Amino acid sequence: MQRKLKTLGLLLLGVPLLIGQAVSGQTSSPPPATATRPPETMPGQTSVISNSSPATRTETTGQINPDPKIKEMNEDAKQKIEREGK
Amino acid sequence: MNIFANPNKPRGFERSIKVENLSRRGILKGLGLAGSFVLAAPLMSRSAFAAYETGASKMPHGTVVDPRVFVSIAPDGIVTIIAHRSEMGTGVRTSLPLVVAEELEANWSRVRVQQADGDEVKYGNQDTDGSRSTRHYLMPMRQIGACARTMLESAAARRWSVPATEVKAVNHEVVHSASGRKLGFGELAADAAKEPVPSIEGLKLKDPKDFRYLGKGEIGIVDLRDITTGTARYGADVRLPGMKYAVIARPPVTGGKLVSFDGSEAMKISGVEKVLEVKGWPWPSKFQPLGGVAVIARNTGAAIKGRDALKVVWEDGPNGKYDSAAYRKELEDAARKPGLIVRKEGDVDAALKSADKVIVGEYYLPHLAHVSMEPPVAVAEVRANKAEIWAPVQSPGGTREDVAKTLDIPIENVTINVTLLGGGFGRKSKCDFALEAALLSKELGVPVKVQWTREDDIHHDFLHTVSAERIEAGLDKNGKVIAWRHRSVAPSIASTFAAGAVHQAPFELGMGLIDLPFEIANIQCENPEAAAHTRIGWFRSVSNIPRAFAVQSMVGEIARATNRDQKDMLLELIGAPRIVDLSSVKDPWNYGEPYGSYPIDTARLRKVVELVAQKGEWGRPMAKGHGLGIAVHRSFVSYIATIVEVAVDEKGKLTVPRVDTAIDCGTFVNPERIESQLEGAAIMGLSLAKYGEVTFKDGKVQQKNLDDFPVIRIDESPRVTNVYIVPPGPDTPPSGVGEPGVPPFAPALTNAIFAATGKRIRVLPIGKQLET
Repeated sequence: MQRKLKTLGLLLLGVPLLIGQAVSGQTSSPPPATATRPPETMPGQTSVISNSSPATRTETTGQINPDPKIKEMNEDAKQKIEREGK
Repeated sequence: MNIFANPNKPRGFERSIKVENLSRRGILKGLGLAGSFVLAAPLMSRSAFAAYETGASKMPHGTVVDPRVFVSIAPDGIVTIIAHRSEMGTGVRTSLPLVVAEELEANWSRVRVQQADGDEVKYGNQDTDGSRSTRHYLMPMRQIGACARTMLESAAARRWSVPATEVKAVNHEVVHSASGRKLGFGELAADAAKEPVPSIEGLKLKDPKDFRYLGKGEIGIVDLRDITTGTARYGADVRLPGMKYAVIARPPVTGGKLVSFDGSEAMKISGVEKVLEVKGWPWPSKFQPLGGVAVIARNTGAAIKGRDALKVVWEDGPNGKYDSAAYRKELEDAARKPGLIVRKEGDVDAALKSADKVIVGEYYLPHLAHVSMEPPVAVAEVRANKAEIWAPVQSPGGTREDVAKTLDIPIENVTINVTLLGGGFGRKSKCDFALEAALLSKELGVPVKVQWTREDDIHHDFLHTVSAERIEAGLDKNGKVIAWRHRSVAPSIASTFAAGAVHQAPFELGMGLIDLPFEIANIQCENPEAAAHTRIGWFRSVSNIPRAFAVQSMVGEIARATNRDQKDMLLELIGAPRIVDLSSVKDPWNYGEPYGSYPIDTARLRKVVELVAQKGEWGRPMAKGHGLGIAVHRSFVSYIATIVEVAVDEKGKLTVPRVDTAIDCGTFVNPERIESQLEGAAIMGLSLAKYGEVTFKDGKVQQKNLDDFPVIRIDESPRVTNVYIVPPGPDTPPSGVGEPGVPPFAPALTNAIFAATGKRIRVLPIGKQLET
């Protein structure tokens, strides 16, 4: 026997979202976003120009974690995945 | 045909079963409050005695088989059974307690299920991943139920002064047939608790022919009513008095760090109360938080708006120029050159040189994001040197350990309350979000909820690896494959823990590379180096996804080149029924299972191919623009074959009218859940094949939300998904169900597309490749 999956149609009604600027009035320059719809970019967040070399397949970043506690956790995790795989 | 037929019944619960929901402080700590069956006895941890051996004992904290830990019976007869695994949609919170109830002879309508907290010393391993729950716990749960049943029978026999052999538990009562006397479980509970726990070796398990629940598919999941009515409690539903809400701006590049921030504009947002730095750890650092800037508010919406207003300067670090397009080229170049040999049988080089024809297939699969319906979320309350967490975590035991280590407090002082998971797919086996909440609560001295947005989820995921796969197949003049070289190049999950990891770990190599089941004289598998430049993690089916895609696509390519039927070609490559000899492989891994119990059995592999071909009407006439494709793959020690029918119109629009899937997962508990998992796998497989792709530019993930990392909607889903379950043989060990359905889907789909259009898809996602 077999069973068929029947698709069900759902109609989702769109609800207009108010723009934060229009309703909050709490700042002079609020972000162009709402709580449920973040802005496309975070204008206030920037990165300093990276002077790193291009990421390659053969070179690891060389980053290591010097914290003994993290080292121990990393080592435990390595042993765990070698033993159980996941 | 000796096939288990799926119950043709509507989904739904037929009995009203209620899960004991979590509540603040109200979660039952242990069983002392739940019934009188419980003894304050020392824990009894022992390896499971079973007709078959599994890898359960090698898991952290192994298996605990003790009815006093998992079962309690109240004086009113209500049986409470502990679910110690996490529920993320597989139905495990029903399946394992159902096994206990079966052996206990409990009436399921009088059973309550209680979610365990994270305590692996008490419950045994709780890592709900690797498609392991049923295969590791079917027998221990039967033993637990049988122990409890025996104790109830002993108590009744003692009360009636009759030999225990004269009494029998039947449907929530113990019956003495000779006298006609009966006692309910509730009436016996107190006395039963005083009985010694019987030894596992002497236990009598039920004869499977007497099963009322197992294998029947007649029991709905215990959470179904709550999920359906919207009352189920997920991580995001947890609220504590005085709780603050946090979102975090994290470094946009893996390995980056915070340079400076200005929270003054954020503080002007109504509801925002504080802006502070969150500690991060240099990468790689297991599941530790990335760090960044947290915005603390009276509600999540305000926190998000506050974060939008932050001014932050990041240093991107050594991955700041990670470009996935350039990296793809490197992976593909590497796949054309020799790499670390991880399996070698015969002489591939010589066989390829002598071959009459060599077919080469190159395949590429990008990073994938988990995008579980519920993004990561956690609530923490840390006071003094104690911490309590509420979170949708797949690994509550591991989370408990990591919280204790991160906060530097004793593990006994950490409580992990496991909520329902709104999907997991491997993302929630990494507890970074719970650690963030714990660190913030410690800093602020109040309960804190950390909520990830969908953008956070996609930008800061532990992504599925990116992979280039290259297969060379050498054919003799008769079209027989005599040589097979498979190179697989992909950054390893081990890079999340080990700075210098450039080769795949044994468990990754064992997912569709070194465990190739084909009967070919000359086989060589290689793994060239690949350094990671973002966080790589487990994803449903893990490395099986790219390997199955490459191998099963290659089968289609060989069939085409030799003018053979795909299914016939597949069976020829699988070869004769046999146990595959992996003695040439240094570490076959085999999903952590002993090869004796879980060998690669090509008879089972052939059977699912033949079954799906028969049931799926392989070779049936197709309308113009339609095509059938087939693929088979063994993963998580289960065997699955899938046939996909596609329809491609003149403009390249792809639809999937029908999917047929056959699975051999050994002994099973609930066929309805198997069917559900395979339907879900078809939907997820189609979604990933059509759309799934995460790309990087300047070290940053370019996708943001479900508009540019789409998942298929209901109108794109397969119209029909038929599932066929191979009935288990006597004592056939249970094997995985949650993950194995995904890997064969994409190659079956693209083989079908080739049959329909003549176009071979070698790069996923399909995207616009079919558009004309």
